Amino acid sequence: MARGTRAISPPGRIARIYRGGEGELAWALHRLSGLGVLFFLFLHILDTSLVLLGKEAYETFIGLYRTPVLRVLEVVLAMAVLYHGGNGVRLTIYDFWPKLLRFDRFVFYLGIFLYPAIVIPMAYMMLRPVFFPNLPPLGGG
Amino acid sequence: MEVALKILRFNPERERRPWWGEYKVEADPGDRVLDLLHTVKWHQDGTLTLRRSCAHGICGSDAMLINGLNRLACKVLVRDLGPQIVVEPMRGFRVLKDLVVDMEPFFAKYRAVRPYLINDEPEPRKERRQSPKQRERFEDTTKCILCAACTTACPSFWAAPDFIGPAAIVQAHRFIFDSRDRGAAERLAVLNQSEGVWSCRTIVNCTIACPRDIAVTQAINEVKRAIVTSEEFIPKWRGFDMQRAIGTAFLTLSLGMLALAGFMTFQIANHILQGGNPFDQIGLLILAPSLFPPAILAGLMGLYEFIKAER
Ligand code: SF4
Ligand code: FES
Repeated sequence: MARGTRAISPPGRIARIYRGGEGELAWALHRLSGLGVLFFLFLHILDTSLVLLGKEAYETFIGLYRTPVLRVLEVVLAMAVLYHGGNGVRLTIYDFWPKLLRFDRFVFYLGIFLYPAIVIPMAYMMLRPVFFPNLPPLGGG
Repeated sequence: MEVALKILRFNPERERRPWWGEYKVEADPGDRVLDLLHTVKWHQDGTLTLRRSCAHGICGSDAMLINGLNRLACKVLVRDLGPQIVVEPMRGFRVLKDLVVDMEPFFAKYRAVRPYLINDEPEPRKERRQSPKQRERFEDTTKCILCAACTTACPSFWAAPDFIGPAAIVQAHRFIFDSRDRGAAERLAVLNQSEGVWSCRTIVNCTIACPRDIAVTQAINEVKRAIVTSEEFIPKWRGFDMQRAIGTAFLTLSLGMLALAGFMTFQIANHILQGGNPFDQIGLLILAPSLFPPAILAGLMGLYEFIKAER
């Protein structure tokens, strides 16, 4: 091993992300989706309490939920609820069955695989009436 | 090969802020990061400060953050890191100098779980006997070398330095599940606090970081389970058996899901029999089959609990 040179770099940004595993990502998303759902809860308390101001105020606001933009946000909300719940079930199962943690990564990727299988049809069903109002309603046959 | 080595340097007595020291070092792919740090310290800059002792992965003194992951400098090879290597001290402890951190809080938590055999019973004439199976129960956690790689990889610990941390729980696990030990209740009481096992969010960074390949998160969850199922913490009424209760809960869940899935299948079948297009029921068509795997999983887990309770 030969000697080398040394250079001092200016104090750079120190805070760098720890390269955690899939579990760290799952945890961060869990927090994020939890906060998102909490935020919606406040909004929801607000919109239902509008009924105190009378039928009209309430209905104008609820009508907003049928606009495309808010419908897309609703899909995001449903995705957050589904993720938060699903991930919570995963962690609870680990609590009662610690050995399953040996297959932690497999379980994580199984979830990654199952999630879109539920979310994509759900999004399709939620968005269809707003974006294609002329199509016959689903399941109405 | 030439390695560009970046080390986070900091001397709190002289400097206000940490800085990056950059070094160019000739290295063999089979060299360890510890060899590179030695080259820097011995030939380039004698002020570089680090801790190491055995240099063979058994004393646990040189855990550090290498390329964004906690590892032992004496165990990780240059070959596995590439020509650019960044070394920082472990996070969550006060830096004393460069790569040396203050481990006292870490060892205080270690002492808090009373990591030694507790047994007041009269000494047997020979040794305290233990079957291979009883020994197997805590084999994994005997391997810990107290390097702190797990604790300082844990986001819960970074956020709340009072969290007792994975390493102390691993050490408690080693004695809680030892058939010769009688101190489990004391240790579980220490760990049954919000700064104990309940700060664990099952992030699993600890298991990935452990240089001894201990299933750290599994050990933590076994301790959690020991707390919720131990007689001291659950007032057990006669005939109540936690294991069977968990098994029953899983079986009920499984049957519920199966019933739901069966009902949906029936709905779809009914719809088809009446000449409808199955794709009209797209929601049911997706939900019903996706309920089966979790139902079967829950059922198997329930059965597993019962089999274990029988043994
Ligand atoms: S459990 Fe592993 S990572 Fe944690 S202190 Fe022990 S040896 Fe180090
Ligand atoms: S120097 Fe002993 S574990 Fe690395």
